[in-house]
Amino acid sequence: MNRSAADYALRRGALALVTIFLVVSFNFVLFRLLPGSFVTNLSHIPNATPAFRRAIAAEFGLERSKWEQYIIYLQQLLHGNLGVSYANDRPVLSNLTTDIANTVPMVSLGTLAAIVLGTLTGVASAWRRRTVVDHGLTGTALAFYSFPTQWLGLMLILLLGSVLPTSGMHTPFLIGAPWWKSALDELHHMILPSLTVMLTLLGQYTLVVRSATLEAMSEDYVLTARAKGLRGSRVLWRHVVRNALLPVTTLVALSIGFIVGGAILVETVFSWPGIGLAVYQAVSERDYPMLQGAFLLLTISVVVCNYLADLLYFRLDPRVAR
Amino acid sequence: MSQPLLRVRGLNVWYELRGRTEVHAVRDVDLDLDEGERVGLVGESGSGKTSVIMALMGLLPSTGSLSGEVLLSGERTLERGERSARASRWRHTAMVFQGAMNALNPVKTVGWQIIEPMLVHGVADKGQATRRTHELLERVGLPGATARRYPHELSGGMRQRACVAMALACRPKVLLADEPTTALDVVIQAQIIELLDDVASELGMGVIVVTHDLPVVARLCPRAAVMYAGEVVESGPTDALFHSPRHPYTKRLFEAVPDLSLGEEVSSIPGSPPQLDRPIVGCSFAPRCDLGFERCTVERPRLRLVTPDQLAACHLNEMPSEQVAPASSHELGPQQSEPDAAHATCGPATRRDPLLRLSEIQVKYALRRGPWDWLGRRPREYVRAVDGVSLEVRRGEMLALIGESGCGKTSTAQAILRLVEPASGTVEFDGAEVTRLTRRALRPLRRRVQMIYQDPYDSLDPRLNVRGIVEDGLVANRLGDRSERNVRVRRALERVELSPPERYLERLPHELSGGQRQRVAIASALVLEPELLVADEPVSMLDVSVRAGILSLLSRLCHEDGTAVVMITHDLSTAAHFADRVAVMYLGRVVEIGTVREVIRAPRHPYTKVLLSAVPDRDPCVRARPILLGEAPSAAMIPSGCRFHPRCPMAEPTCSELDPQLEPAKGHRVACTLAPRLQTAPAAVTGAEVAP
Ligand SMILES: Nc1ncnc2c1ncn2[C@@H]1O[C@H](COP(=O)(O)OP(=O)(O)OP(=O)(O)O)[C@@H](O)[C@H]1O
Ligand code: SF4
Ligand code: SF4
Ligand SMILES: [Mg+2]
Repeated sequence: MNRSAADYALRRGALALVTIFLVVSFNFVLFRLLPGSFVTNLSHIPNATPAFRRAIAAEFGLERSKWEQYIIYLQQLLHGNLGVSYANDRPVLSNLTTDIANTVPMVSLGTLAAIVLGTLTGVASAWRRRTVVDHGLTGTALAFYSFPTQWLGLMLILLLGSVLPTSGMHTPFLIGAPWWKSALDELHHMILPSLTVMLTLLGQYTLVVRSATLEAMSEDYVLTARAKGLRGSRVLWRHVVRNALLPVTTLVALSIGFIVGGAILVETVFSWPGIGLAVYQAVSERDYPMLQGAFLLLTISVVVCNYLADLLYFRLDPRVAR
Repeated sequence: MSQPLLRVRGLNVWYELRGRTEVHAVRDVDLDLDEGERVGLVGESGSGKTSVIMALMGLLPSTGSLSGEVLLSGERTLERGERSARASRWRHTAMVFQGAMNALNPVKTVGWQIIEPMLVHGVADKGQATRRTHELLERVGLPGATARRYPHELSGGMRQRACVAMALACRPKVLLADEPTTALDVVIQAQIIELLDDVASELGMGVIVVTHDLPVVARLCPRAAVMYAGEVVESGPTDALFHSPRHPYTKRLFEAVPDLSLGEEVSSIPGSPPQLDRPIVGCSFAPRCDLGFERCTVERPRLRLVTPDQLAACHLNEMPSEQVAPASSHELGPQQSEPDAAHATCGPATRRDPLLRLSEIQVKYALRRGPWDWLGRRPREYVRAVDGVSLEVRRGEMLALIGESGCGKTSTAQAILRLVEPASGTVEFDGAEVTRLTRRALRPLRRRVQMIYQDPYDSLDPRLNVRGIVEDGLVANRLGDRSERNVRVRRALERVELSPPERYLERLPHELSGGQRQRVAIASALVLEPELLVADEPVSMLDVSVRAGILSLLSRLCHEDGTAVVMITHDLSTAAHFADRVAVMYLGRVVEIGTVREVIRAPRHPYTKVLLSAVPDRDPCVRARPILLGEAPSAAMIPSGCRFHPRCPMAEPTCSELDPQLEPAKGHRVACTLAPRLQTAPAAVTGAEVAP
């Protein structure tokens, strides 16, 4: 890594850290602004005894000043303590870890499929612009883009429900099966929700990639490439696509960042026990610590992915180096 | 007769527009190119030059269609299939594109892009191609290591050199150069012209140079074809086109181009080219031709031989020869008396006090700092864009500020109005010290000083009509009521020769031509009755045929109304023709200042001489070699001593130590330690010295 690259990574990294710090602090303030004190919130826990409340209050150091509390909050965060869920009395962090472990494979599969397919359809419809191919591809993409997610999910259930599992991520009777069998089972369950995720994202990718490709195609260097006597496919892949995909990296990073956030609607429709479903339940049960933890995790993951996108952009576009 | 390398017969190009109309962009063009020959293709914007080139390359857009016959080394090229057409591109016919700003792929290295066609066409294997790339880069005057660099790391001139290297990669037989020097600085432009000249004669290629810049053709091409509204109206030896044009358009086109000879009139061609989406009956130039007669409006003149080696498409050539009114004025020599009269008008005693005085103006821009610098507490670094400029402008006087790009011309102009804050120095306007005024007190002053920008396409609000645009300044300054504003708007439009104003008031910018737009921009400045106009490259985006009109308009405003004008330009010929005084800037300093006569006729600073030598003459007979300079330096690293010494052809050892200041005297002044000695031998180094 040369100096300017290190310089760039450092500058961007510092910015990402500052953003994360601000988000964490904002989270702290937001939490104090909620109606009722921490302890009254905690007292919503059924059967909480005064002794338990005092113990919790002491654990979180609520009798100290706000600044001290802030410092303690940061310290606890550093140790991974995100609080305790009201709903099941378990540490928020361990709840979240389980949910994320369920969500990430399903949503990643859908998102990656959408990225790959969307790029291909976007490039194809730009290259064949104003032909049947273009109209067909963009039309389809737009249609899927405009369908409500639940509706799309329900249609898929109606259509494919007889051949594919439609709810949960395991077959209940498969206890004690060898690991590969349960993995296959999970994959099988994943198909429909992932497909729904893919279809909802596809339209956006197709359109963004299409317009980026069209823009790159009108550049002078593409004319140069054609004048050089290159084959159409070479002009497309070596000269157009590489440039067209530059602006798309940011979009990709953003949606990868959101993978951690799960897909609330999809997970609800398919009862997928992931973080989206957990957030949905936390909202309906006013489980603030869970919400707070999920929010924190989501923002950090978005910030980190953006940082990675910046670094990738730096590698891809020589002009970013100053 | 031997077989020409390239032979074009009856080439036609149409573009399909939406709504089933068609633009007939190229009409029955014939063109011949021999081996080792260079032909220029000149004409105004939209005359179809690029379309011809694209048709020859087989690269018309999908909306384009063509007919005609093209023979390359005796082989028909239009009829072959895409496969063999592709195999011939770059291998047989390569191109250099305009300005090269975007002709290179930004994410690939220069070397990769030069190697690519060699590998694709199989003319070399990887090792050979890499070696050849190095040779080529060195051949075009770039270090071989440039191969590893990305386009954005190179300056405009270097990029254009790289493009020339790329074009030579497969040793093509024909090189098509579309506006190869447009958008480059004079000095760089001269370098690229020399380069093309050298490589073309060395490799014996046939070259077609497309340009609207006549001096470039005069310099590079022994033969040229003039295009108008899609057809070739005249072709022949470039000297003959210049000295004895046989088509009125050719004559007017050459007259519209200023050059360094001070005496000659420069005039624009009134009117605009015909719309190409409807059939043209008769001569396409007839609506603008002042020699036209009945036959011209009904019968299309065909291109035919009028002298043994000159072809023209004009009915006059079939009449007794006196009627063509050949360009006798060129042969009669300069009319010395006229310019003197013109210059005399700007000197009445009442106009003697300077309206604007800049003293020791400095403008700095801070460089961005990285985190490493911040940790290391390195002091802030600045680019000294303007580094001690002193100037005076009187009422009724036009001062031209000239120099290469990046020398601080625009920053100086902006400092006048404090659009950028000068870091030090003072600006005085009409006795008041602008640099000490508060923002509030500055506002009335901004009305008295108006700016005109380079690009009439950007500077006008596309949603306002002409009335709205011109009225805007009055409304913003709360001047006059409705009817009074109306009167002033009309007067301003008439002043810029958009009359009758009714015809223009309701039009939107996109319904105007480039020249008309720039006139509207000037009118919107004039309506506030400014005392000083600052025009930043006012014509560089406009077509040659309308430039002269805008410039004479500015010059009239100045000499008749007493408005002071500061005109920024990189074009010395423009300055020579229209300004009263010239200030030559180099790296943030004025290095020479004086009247046009003094500076252009008897330049004393070596840099001015170099600049003058870089200007190609519109007369093809004056074919002097320019003095070449290295790449333009950067204002971030100003050399010690005389800032010009690393490039100065006359530098002496002391020059790297002594920083020469502008001589304190009045009148013609230079900043060069050798100046006292140089005075005795004027213009010793000037290549293109104009015959007295
Ligand atoms: N793709 C296109 N579709 C429709 N009309 C076009 C197209 N390209 C060019 N034209 C029209 O064809 C005519 C000739 O254009 P062309 O670009 O060949 O001119 P040019 O002489 O190269 O001009 P310039 O000096 O501005 O580059 C113009 O009237 C232009 O508007
Ligand atoms: S043919 Fe007639 S209108 Fe056309 S250029 Fe000649 S004289 Fe003018
Ligand atoms: S001072 Fe020296 S280097 Fe500078 S312009 Fe004069 S001769 Fe050239
Ligand atoms: Mg063109």
